[in-house]
Amino acid sequence: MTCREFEENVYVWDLLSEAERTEAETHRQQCKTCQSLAAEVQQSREWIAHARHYPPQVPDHSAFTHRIMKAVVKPKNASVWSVLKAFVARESLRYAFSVLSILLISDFAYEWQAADHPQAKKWIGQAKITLDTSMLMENLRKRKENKQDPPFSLYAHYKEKYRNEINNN
Amino acid sequence: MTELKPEVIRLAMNGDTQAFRVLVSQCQGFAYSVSFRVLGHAQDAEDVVQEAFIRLWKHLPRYRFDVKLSTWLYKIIMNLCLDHLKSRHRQQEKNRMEMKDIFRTYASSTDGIEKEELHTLIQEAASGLAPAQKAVFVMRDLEGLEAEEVCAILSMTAGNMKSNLYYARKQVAEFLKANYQLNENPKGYDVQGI
Repeated sequence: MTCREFEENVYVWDLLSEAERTEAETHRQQCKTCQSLAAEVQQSREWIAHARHYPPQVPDHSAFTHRIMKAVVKPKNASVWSVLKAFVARESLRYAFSVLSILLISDFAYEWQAADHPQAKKWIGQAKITLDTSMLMENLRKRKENKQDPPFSLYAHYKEKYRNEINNN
Repeated sequence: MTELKPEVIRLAMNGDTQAFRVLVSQCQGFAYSVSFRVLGHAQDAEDVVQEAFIRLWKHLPRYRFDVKLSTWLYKIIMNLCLDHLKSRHRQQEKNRMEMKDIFRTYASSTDGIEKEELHTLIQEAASGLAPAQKAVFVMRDLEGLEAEEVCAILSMTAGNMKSNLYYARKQVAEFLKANYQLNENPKGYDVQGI
């Protein structure tokens, strides 16, 4: 056995077979350098063995157990289905939302009909609910006149187009 | 570590949280010890232990009694620690800054500044090891597990484990030789003689 081989063995002495130990031991008895190395390794092993007997301690045992258990049994993230189930389970909320939905749908249907139906339009006109835009249009015209060279605006372009259509009607 | 009763494990496997609490209470000590020794950081160790128990709880119904539960838990912890070490590679400086944690943690269990210094030096020496070397060193030398168990936990061959242990011990020994002056076996702890 060479000194290099002895060094490789001496650090893992506890993992050697009997034959390997005997061979390493024979070399050590013949080599002063390896005897010194073996003593150093033995010393470091003793220091490490000392540290083994003082394991790091959990700062607060019961608090740490509580923390772990809280994390382990915490409820799962709410899924859409679980939210729906919770909602359906509350009867008063369910009826309130149903009534509100029916009201909103009825209102939407009425407005939709009123917008397209000529009779409804007439009725709205009689009731003077229609929006009078003449004042807004006048303001717009004045603003345009005051501006010397307004920048091109897509919005303004289409607004002009539809305004003309409205005026024609 | 005290052996866990099979009936407690069976109850926990069936979803009994009280049984699992007993299991956590019994295992958290060694779980924290090993993760702290590998990570060298108290807060990280606590987070890893918590995550390990969450995984244990999740996978416990699949547990088979042919392996010790502690070995199974060690395996989960070591996988988490190694992942953590890889992701934390760039945070070595933070690790060094937290060395004071080690003093604080050991202070409650030891009675002298020399022992604290020794523990801190060993931890510091271990912090310079590659993750696999550190894992082998902690399991074998600091936790005192059998070589076969270390191989099983880290999914290593005996040769690979021996090689990692050689480099780890050599580096730690050289570090201690350079930094620690107390030339005596503090309480005559038994180590396998050379």
